[in-house]
Amino acid sequence: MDPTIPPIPSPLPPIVIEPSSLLWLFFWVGIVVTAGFAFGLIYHWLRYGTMYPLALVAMPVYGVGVLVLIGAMLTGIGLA
Amino acid sequence: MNLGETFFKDTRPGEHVVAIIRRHWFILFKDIFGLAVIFLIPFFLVPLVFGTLTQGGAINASGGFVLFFASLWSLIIWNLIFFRWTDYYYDVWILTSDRIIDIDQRGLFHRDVATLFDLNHIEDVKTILSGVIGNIFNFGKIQIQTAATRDEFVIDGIANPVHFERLIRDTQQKHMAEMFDRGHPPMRRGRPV
Repeated sequence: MDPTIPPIPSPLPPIVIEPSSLLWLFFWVGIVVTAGFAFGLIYHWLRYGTMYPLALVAMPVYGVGVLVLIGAMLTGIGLA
Repeated sequence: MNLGETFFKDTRPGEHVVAIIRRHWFILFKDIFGLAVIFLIPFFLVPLVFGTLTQGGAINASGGFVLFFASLWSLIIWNLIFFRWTDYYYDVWILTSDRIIDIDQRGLFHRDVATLFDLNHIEDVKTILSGVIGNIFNFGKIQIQTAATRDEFVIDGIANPVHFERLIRDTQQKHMAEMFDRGHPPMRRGRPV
């Protein structure tokens, strides 16, 4: 074997993206969007709650829905 | 203190709230129905697309993936539903004994509160019920002709506009009578009405 010839490099290992890491990315995007909505909505509901009493009823309904759906997303990541 | 005064505190001396008017519920229903259609689309489309791709072995979607994306999609729609509802619920017209006030909520963080006009400026009130749905559910618009700079105001999509028109006329008459009693006859374009 000729020592002047450099050795041929072995091919790079293939880049493997774990599917769950992709789900985490979507999860955090969803959380950021929801945080924006939640801030805006809850701010208005609390600020004008005396004028619009139904807003105080909507708040826990909205909160429970958000928590259930975030829980379902986490369960989905766990099962994937 | 009645509900109206709790609702709107910035009243003038002697002024009281006569009615609080919102858009008809069908306006909200239309918005929510649109969101429901958008919500359901992926539940029909995704199995169709995935079914085609998985037949060739290109994608192997597990139950976890489906649950995750269904929940993410539902979360976004859930936020939008409450956003639309807040927009609808916060938009009101307040008829007081002196004037009509418009509270206009445009999305979040944009809220206009303005006096549309004083009742003694009203020259004519017109009710318009148009369309099949508007007639069935009894909602439509009210056009109010005034002597103010901007001469016509339209209040659109309100429930029972005929009742609201009558209410405006009755309140206006009472308001004018009160002004005469106080010795300040209402003036329009520099002349007593």
